[in-house]
Amino acid sequence: MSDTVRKDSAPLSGLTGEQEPKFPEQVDGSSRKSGGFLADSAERLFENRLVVASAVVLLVLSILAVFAPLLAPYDPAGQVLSDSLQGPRANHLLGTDEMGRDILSRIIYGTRISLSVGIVSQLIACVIGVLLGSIAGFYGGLTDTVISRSIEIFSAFPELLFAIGIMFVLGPGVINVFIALGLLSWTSYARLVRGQVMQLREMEYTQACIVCGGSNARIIVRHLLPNCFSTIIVLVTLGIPGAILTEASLSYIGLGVQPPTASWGQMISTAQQYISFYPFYSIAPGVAIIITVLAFNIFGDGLRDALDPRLRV
Amino acid sequence: MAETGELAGRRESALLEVRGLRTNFNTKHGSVRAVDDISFSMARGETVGIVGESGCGKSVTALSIMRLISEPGRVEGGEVLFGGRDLLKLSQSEMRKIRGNKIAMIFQEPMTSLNPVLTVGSQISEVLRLHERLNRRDAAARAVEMLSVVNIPAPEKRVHEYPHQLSGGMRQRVMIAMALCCKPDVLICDEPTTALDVTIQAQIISLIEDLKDKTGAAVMMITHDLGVISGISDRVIVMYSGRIIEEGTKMDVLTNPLHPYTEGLLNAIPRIDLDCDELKVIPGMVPNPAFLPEGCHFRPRCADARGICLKEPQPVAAAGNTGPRTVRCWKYLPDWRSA
Repeated sequence: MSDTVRKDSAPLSGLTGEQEPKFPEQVDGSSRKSGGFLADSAERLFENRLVVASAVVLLVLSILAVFAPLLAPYDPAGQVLSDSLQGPRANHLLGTDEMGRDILSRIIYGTRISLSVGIVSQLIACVIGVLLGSIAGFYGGLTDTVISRSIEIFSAFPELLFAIGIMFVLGPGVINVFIALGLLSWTSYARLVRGQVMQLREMEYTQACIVCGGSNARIIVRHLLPNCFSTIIVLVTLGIPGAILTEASLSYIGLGVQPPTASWGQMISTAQQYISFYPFYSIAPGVAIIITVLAFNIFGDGLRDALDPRLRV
Repeated sequence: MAETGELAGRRESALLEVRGLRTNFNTKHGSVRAVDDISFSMARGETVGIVGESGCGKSVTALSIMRLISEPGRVEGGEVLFGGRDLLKLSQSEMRKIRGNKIAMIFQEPMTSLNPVLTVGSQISEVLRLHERLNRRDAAARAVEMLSVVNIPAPEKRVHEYPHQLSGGMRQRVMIAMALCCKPDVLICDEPTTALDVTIQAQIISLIEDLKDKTGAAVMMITHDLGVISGISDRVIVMYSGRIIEEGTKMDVLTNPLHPYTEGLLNAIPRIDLDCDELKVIPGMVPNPAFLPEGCHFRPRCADARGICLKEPQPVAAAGNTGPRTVRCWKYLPDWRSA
């Protein structure tokens, strides 16, 4: 008995005094990397050239949206009826629509609608979903049952039909599109966060936090949600293109953004009447949608890979 | 006489006293008693070691004291007296003020006991801000101070690092810093060294011992490693399937074990000074807590068992060389001879 102890304590005799030689591997370990989680992930994110390209596209789109009044060559609502339905020319690079409005300017202004619809609706969905999901996952029991059943009910509706229903009740308009799309997609956030919180709640550091006297709210907000953060970000970037497409669909059937505000979906909707002799009118906003959705999807995929801790070396 | 005097003296100065603690778990086999009528006390500045095999109820005892038993477990009875109050009767918010502040706890797994997305500094200062209402800057300064107290080199740099940048031993030091930063009266260590290699184990043990002397905290050291016990404890409690079977000073229990189980445990330690080809073991397995044997739980594995062991043994005071001790075995009861 006492022998095993003596054996252990022999190499330790020096440690009460000297501190330096104790952790050789850690001392040089600190120079290995000091970037931490985010810097590491950012580095891996931009190693992928496709992701860099999509990031550039998203940056350009944001600039277009923010500085639309400066960048658009014409007023998007300015009608010159004598110039209606003209193909691309030097003074109208993408041509004009049936009211003689400049299509390029309308697409640039449409960026504002598409991006804001995508981002705001996903933020709304994210807030509702994260709140309900974390409560359900943390408390379990009856709370969980009630929230989980509502998640199932909400996600049982066909997506577009549900959006149409909400828009019918709320009436058309950009703000209502935000709300409708937010209500449409909170379930995926709630489901994911619930699962993660349930898993994280059982981790030892949650227990360590309880042992330190932390309250439930503090544990959820300070300790559990930061651990779900990467998943939530990825879900937002992957949710945005879906929201943009749904907005385009809603505007296409006349329930979304109302004219004269320019929206890509609504432009395509109007353009279909002229598609046989002026296809370019519908192709231009369609390409804008494709580019935006593709950029968000690629960026979201890249982000997911970059934030995945299992891929960290 | 001298013993009873000492016993009475300890009772008075008891910082934490556990009386008749019972914790059950509801399983499909019915209610399983994980902790059965545990009573012990701890004085200020004292180290009490709790030894036993896996599943004997050591950790459940600690978690019951901290009120951390969650469904399907339940503390069925008993008292945990601390500072004149029964912890088992406090409200959740009163309990939160005690956890981390008056009674702190260190876990077995340093790898997973720290939140991977927060810096170690922010995790230490969170405890300080919670209990001592320090502002951000003071708490951060204290976090650096605490890291240097637990012998982490370059603490002002380390506070900004994340747990994955530290080794297991370093993380356990951070856990100790977190546990001790509010100067708790009681520190519960639940196998703090099990996940560490032997040299780091000894460092951590001597660090805990050192800080205990400095802060005057009482330490409850839960372990299955008798080497750890011999390195740290004043008093040793031996547990077997939910019960305390032997209690006494470290010297008494380790040099002169009374209970056959303790004896078997000590014999099972390989000794470097004796030549032997085969390691000694205690025959049999720890009983399943859902189907405990009748009477003494150790009876089926005990070489000395007699018919009387089918009856429940009661703890009995025994003579110790260096302090009072108790043992829960029929061998030390007067009925043994006639059995």
